Amino acid sequence: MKSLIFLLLIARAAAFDSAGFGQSLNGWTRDGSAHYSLDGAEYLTLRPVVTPSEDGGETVAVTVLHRSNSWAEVPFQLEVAFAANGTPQSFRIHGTPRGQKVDTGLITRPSPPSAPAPVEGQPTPATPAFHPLAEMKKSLFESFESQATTAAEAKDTRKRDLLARIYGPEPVDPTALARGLRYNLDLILRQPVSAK
Amino acid sequence: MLEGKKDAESVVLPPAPEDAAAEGEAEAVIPLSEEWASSPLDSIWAKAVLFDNPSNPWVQQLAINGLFHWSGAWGEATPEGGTEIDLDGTRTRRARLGARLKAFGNTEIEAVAEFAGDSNFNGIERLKGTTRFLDNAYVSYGKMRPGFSTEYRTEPQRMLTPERSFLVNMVAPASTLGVMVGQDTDRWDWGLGWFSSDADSNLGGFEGNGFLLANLAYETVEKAEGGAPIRTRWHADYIYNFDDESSPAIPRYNVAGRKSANGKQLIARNPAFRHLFSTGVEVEQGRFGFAGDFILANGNTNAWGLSLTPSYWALPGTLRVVGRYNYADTDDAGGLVGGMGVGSDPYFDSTPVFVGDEYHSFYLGANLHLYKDDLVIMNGLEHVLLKDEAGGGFDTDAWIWHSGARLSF
Repeated sequence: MKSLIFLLLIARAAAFDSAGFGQSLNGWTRDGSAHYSLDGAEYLTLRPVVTPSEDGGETVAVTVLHRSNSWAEVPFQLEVAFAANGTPQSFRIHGTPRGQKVDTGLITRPSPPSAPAPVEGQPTPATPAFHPLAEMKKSLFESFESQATTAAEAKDTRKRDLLARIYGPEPVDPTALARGLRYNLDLILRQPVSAK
Repeated sequence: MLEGKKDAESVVLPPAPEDAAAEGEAEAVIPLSEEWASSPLDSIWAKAVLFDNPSNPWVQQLAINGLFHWSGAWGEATPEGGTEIDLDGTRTRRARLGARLKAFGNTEIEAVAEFAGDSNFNGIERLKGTTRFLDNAYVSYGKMRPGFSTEYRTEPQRMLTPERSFLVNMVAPASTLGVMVGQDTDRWDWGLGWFSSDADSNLGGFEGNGFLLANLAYETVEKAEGGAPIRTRWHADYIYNFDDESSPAIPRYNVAGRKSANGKQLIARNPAFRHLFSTGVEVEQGRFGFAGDFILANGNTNAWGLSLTPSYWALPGTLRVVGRYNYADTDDAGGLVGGMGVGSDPYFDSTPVFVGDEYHSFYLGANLHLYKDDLVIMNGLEHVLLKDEAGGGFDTDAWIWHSGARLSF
């Protein structure tokens, strides 16, 4: 019986609800983007690209753009990989603000800590709380913010025309970027990613 | 369901994807980025795209495109023993408006109207469809410009100099109705096509036996030690003209019966070519760019030559310094035919027209990019030496200042 349930679990494939995700961001416009603001900063999210993986899971990739001034947007890609049963397996953020590479790499699900061996004659110690998602988010944004801060202070390596030079480079605000990306990540995790 | 509420122990942990580690370690060779920084005019240029939805099964994109190219030249040509020829002039060199439609996920249709020039020049510049199949193969059909030599293949929106070089303008084939098939693979590109000989500023029809075009190109991107990657593209193009002297498409102009500005020599017959061959290499590394092209034309006149075009971004994206050396030679007296200044392309404007048998041109200029590649001001100085030793002996030299502005979207 147990193996049957296990097989059923494997046979199920994750299905991400793009429409529901868009609705929670004020809805998709005709050009496939959603517009919203958080704490006074304006953002855009482009319609996610959902790629199924061979094990029945899928990867949801969205581009989140922070409108950093009246004419420039700073884009970042956020990728969330789900297992077939809808469990988030890995996160990744990457982008090239000012032509500088920012890539957190894949932040994968940590293994639970092994319980300490009970010592004879003493009460079994309580297993410490283990929140894999919280840890993944923590390492994702620690890595992102430190890299984005470095990029925000770096020189622009892209080609800049005369007007771009006169107006100066667009501001790269790691805090606002992280806020937008975190908001999108939380929304993606909240969508019912479950069996088809 | 909120994942946080799950019991962590119950979740089966698959191993981390294998490519995750590989991705971080092996730094792939990144081609030279054409990436531009955001610019205040981005939102205005974005309006040229009227509709864009890659997931629509019928129409994926509809965009309007345009090109306005104004050019001016100031200078004079001095033939040996003759009077000086004034080359001052300004022209609306190109004024184009068109549309681009991407449909059915594999087809792109371009239609461009030309409003500049006289009635021989203005009309339908192109009406071209390209359908892609089998991942990297394509078939193109309609009125289009045959891809021959680096300069002639480059769209005028992206040209580094105010005009194409003398030899290219002398031998290049006209845009006519044709069909091409080809394949763009990672490294090798090839194409094979047939074009009609009916050169018409509008659509034209099918006339004569036409000409065959074969293209082959090899492109690599190599990582240089401690520097930006080097992109190299080698190409070879060959045209066989079935109609030889009766083809109005090769070359694109007709100067038969005209008199040259140097020495008033009668041009008894228009050059005609049966074989055209071009091979060359383009190299780009960081701020440096270089294009070298060798051209050979064989017919009732033989002509050959080369152009070397180095360029350097003094301020990446803003100021580009461009040099060009163009050399052309022939065995025949008065075998080289072409213009100078704003009339450098005899197809556009052949007043005045010069003849000779050896040609050298040295150009040094600077291009100021106000908005990306789409709003550019070009200035440069050109020195031309045209020898006419086998002909009437009217060797000509000229100093020409070029100014131009180009707006495209």
